[in-house]
Amino acid sequence: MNLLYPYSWIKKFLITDISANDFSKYVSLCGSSVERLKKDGDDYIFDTEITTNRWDLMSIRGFAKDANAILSYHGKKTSLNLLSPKTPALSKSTKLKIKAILDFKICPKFCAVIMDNIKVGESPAHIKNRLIKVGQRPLNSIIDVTNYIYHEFGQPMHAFDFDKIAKGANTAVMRTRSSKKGESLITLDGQKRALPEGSIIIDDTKTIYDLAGIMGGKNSAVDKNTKRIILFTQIYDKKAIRKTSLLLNHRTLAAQLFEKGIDPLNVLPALYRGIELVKKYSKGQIASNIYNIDHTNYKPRKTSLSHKKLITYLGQDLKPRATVKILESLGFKTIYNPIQKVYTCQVPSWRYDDINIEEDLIEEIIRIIGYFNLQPELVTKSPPQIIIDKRYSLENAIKYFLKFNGFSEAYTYSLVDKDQKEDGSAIYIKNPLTNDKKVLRNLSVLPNLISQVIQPNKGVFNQIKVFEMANIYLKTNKEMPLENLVLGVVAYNKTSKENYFYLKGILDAIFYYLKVYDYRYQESNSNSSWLKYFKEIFITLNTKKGVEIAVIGKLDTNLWGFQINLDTAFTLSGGISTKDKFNPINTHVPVIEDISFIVKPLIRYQNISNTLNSINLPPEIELIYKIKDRYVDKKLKNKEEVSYTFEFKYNSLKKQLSDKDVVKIRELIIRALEKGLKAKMRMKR
Amino acid sequence: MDRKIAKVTDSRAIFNFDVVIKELEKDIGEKKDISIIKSKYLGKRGEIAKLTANLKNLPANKKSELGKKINLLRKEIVNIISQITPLPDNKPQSLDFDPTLPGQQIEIGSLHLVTKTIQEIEDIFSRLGFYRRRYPEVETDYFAFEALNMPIEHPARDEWETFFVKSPRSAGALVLTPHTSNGQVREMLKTKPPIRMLNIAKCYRRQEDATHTQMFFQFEGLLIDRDVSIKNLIGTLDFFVKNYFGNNRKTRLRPYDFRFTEPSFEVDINCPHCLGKGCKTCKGGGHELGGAGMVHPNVLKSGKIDTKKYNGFAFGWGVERIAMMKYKIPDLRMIYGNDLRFLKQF
Repeated sequence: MNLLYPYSWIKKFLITDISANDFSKYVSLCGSSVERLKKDGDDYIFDTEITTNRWDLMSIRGFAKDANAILSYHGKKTSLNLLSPKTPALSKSTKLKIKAILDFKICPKFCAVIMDNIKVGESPAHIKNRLIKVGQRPLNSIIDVTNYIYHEFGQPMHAFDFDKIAKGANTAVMRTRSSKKGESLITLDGQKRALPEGSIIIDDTKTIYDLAGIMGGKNSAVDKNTKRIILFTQIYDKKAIRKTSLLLNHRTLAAQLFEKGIDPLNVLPALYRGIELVKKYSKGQIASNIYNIDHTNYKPRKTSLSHKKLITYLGQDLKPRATVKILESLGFKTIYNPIQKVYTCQVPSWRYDDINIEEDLIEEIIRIIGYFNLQPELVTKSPPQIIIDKRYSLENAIKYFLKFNGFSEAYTYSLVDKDQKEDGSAIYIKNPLTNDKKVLRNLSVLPNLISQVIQPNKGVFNQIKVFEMANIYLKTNKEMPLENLVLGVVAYNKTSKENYFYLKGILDAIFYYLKVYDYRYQESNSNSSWLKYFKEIFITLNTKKGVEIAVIGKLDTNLWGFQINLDTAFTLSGGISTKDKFNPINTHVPVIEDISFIVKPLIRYQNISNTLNSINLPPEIELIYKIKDRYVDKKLKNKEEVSYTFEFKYNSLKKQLSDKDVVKIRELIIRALEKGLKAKMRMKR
Repeated sequence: MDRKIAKVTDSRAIFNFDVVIKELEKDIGEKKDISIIKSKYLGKRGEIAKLTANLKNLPANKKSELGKKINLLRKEIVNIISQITPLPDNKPQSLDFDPTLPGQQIEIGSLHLVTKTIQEIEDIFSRLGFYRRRYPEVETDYFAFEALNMPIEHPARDEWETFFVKSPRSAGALVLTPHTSNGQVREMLKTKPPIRMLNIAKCYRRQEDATHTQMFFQFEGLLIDRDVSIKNLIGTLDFFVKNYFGNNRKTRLRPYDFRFTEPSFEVDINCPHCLGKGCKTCKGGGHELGGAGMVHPNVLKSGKIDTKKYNGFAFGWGVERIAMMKYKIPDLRMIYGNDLRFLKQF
């Protein structure tokens, strides 16, 4: 939360000569970050970020206190002048009364007083000035006092018009309770608000007149005709205030402070000060007892810190005497036990909820010393004995391979506008920011690559080759959804020749690199979700068990692409395996020959390679084959036939193959082709 | 020699081979073009050709003898010419070959700036013994907040504009993790100390402007060991910053507040322009890098780490943020804009 602190107001409590620049520098390094230093005439205003745990700094007095501790440690001349408000003289008359019916759980501290003889007017210039500097608009001499106390003490204060509440009686009933369903209130800004159940409200047992801790009701507001007021400071239950304020989306300054924390020992002094200022600027007089109903059960807590732990965190030595001095300057009454080497501290009331464990005290001590005063030191202990996950280097290798083949990497958003598979497996966001990003993609990165990368760049580039390696996300019936890493590759060519085999070459190379050999091609399934994204000709690559690991095809005119499920591929990969071993080099000369044969067009390359792979050869025989030609002419076309020529390399690890040996192997090949594929042999060399 | 002399029938004058050789050597000395020299002596109308033409005016017996001598002369001229080393600005052997032309073009693509940055981060921290992890993007509320000392409905959760996920789970909500800190307790439950985790993963927040995108990457370091000090944190961050940004850069810690660290810090890097002295572009000599802190004992307890023996530090920074700082990229949305003219630069 950012707050404004005028240096002139701070200097009411902090006696110092240091420049605003220096003040800002030390406070930023040891306390709160001064984000901007604004010059305002003779004065300077510190625009400072205060973290939620330091609500004690959300006031001029609190800020000055902490600054004093910081500046004195660093040798600057400063001292504190925290004038304690004097206890006001008691009222002569106690005719007027407040009947407080309190729910102590929601209002543990209640301080109030009735003041009469009120003349609502304009606040004096110096009060208005200070309010303006902290971003508050001056309104009238009563409301200005409540805001002034808020900024000076960090205590929200409210003023009610006594007569609007008492309605002619001498007693004003103030009942604090939790609101029920369906209740509402017109707040003093004129808005009618439906009150969430469980909001803290004040009523007179019949009519609600205050949305406690957030904003007063219009029906009890102070106006220019007000003659008698109730001045009121308090503590409310943090959680209830926060909940109501968030539900109503009404984040007033009071709410923001009540939900964080209030110093229980500050509530009454703040009221005293308020009384002072009302007397001074609105001619008010105390007309009742001063009510102080306290059920906070506040008792100063003790926390301890071991010296050894402090030194561990600090990384260097520190004399206990110096430590004690720092803690005392921050309001912690500290005693050091030199035998047990333990500090015992009494936590001041303004830090009652923030300081609980040793580390909290360590933070107080070392931040005052200044983290900027510590020298860097690397950890010198042994690094962990960990088995490094090799998948990251595999991922990087694939990325570099694509880069050096002319592809550019892109990152598109994981969130899309609909379930890509339309089967309910997608994960939806409850509170999306925009409508086009409300579901996590559950099938593919390809659509986004097309719409977010290919399309926008078509105007400048005639050839676009891109890829993305990212997750798709699927619901499971387990606790956590499945996050699957996929690789999408897309190639666009305006003057396109056929790009399919180029992309397939890339796909084959990736599988080869990963040592994934065991896959089958399958024609597109007419039910496949992929049909929504591919225009034509595609096949999927599946494992033996039918698990899909890749899809490749034509996405659109001049646009081709494929997607590999990398996680599935990695599980099949021989590349990650540590069982890799060296294959002995065969020094025998291979026998090479071409064999041509004719098959029906139904027979695909895959069928031929499967057939050849399944030939039963003795383990020392190496057979390497390569397609040389696939050939159709008119004559063959009429007979519905396709001619293939394959080059075969025969070798043996044990000996140099003789002609007789070659004949044996050749026979096996021919038999397999004839039997398995009904192939007709053509001439062979 | 000119034609007039060629018509003289005195064989001694016509067949003065020494003169020819001397003239050749003079031509070579004057660095005349090789092809011109060749043409002058060996060409169709060259000296050898002229000498050979003059043979027909001679009696038969002389013809044979001088013919042989002309042949020898020719061979000698060829020999002399072959020993001429061509000068650099001579025309090359073939007019068609220009060795300075660009080679066969090999298309080189590009890796995304985010990938490149992640690789650099991983590389630098691995030297300090950090190992790479990638924890889930869709995360339970427990690991994203509760285990990090942020109970349900705690105001601290507001700071992360979180996306909530529609899940059928009855026990606990699912979120898109707004930070990589979700990896901390997961790592502690998985690995016994010493721990040096580097979790780099996608994060999500409900924000979109010049410095925020709904999806972004963070990197989270977690070091758990015995007797870890704040100086160790500074040392580790300095090591990274020097190696990533440059040797004259360093970090500075300022007090801050996170629920999962105590003490907590905001980390600045010294300004590249004034190197920490203070100038118009920086805040007090520095620029904000990200948050850090000593791991809160409640978080260690969530991770079942013995707080009597171990403590540690953690830091979590934006990947895009440091890249933008390094390459002076003004708007974060350019990084996910996927304009190829941007992508191809890296």
